Amino acid sequence: MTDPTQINAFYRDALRELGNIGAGNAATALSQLVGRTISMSVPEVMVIPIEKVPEVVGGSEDVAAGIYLEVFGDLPSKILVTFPHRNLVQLTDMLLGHTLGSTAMLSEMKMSALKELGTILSGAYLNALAKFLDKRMIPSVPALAIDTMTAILQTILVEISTDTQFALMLRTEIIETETKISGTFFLIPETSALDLMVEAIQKAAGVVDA
Amino acid sequence: MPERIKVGMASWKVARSRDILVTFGLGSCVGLGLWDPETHIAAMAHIMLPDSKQPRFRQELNPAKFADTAVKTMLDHFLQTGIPFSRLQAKLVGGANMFAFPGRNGGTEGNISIGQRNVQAVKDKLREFSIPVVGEDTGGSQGRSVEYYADSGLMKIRTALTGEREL
Repeated sequence: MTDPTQINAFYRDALRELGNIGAGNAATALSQLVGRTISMSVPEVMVIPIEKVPEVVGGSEDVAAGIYLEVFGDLPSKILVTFPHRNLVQLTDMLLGHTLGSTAMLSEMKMSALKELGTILSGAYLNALAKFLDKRMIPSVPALAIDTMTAILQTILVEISTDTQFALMLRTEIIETETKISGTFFLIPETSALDLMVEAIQKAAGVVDA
Repeated sequence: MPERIKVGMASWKVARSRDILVTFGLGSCVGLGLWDPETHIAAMAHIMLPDSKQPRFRQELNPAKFADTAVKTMLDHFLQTGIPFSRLQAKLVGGANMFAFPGRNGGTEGNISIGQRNVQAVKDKLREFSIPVVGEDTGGSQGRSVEYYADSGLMKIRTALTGEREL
């Protein structure tokens, strides 16, 4: 089994490229959905002892919306998409086609829109990845929590900590260029998925095992 | 000056006199506080998982991560300090189910959330040593942050959206 701490520079770059492919497609999907320019950061590949993740990833007492999905299929993984609480009203206005700032509250409708956004971003991300790797990746329905960033991260970490002591996370920021509203997309492959991902990268990159 | 002692995920700390133990963002994790009313010594653990005995955890060296080993380790410490178990009072916080999937982890049938299992595992272990749970704020769907005061054994619990309560 691939130990996340043993991931070498080649695979780190390859995983970063996977993040690029996935997040690029997700940004395009969002851009088409809201009719605005969406940019993205260079994906980061992070391998962190689970206990240290909140410190390293910036767990804070700031409130955020976290949309969580499980990924089934050949490469079991978790997806977490987070948005700062202060942006949620504007963001959902954007999604629902309201004038920005025309509503003040996070209605039930807006909560659904947030979950739907998680589904759309994840779907686009996974489609691109699955196509590139020639694997099946199927997202679950989304679950939404509005809570502190620390509590959101810790809850996801508990889910993966039954399986591993290190978290491998692929993190990409997605930014709407005009309002500067930004979200963070995390793909967290399970240990079993990591093996297959490494294999699929080798195949896709034409690397043959010696 | 009272010191604020941070208890990170999967760790545990001890405080005395006017010091305050703090831990942030308990989602499905459980904060376990143990307090001796005579010496005013308090200990708090930030527990992630119910059971250390599953095969893949054989090499884990971190006792505070699991309910069973966290309770054992904390009790050993009190015993070494000369404090008998019979004086200790326990308080429990956390064990929420933050991300409720329809049809899963909802607690409807069979599938019990990891938060609930954490709470149950800590309680079972405490019962083994006959330590009373004198305060509890567990379950629900919201994350919690805790301040635990060594001088009084008081816990202040804060959630992101519904404010503060005392235990």
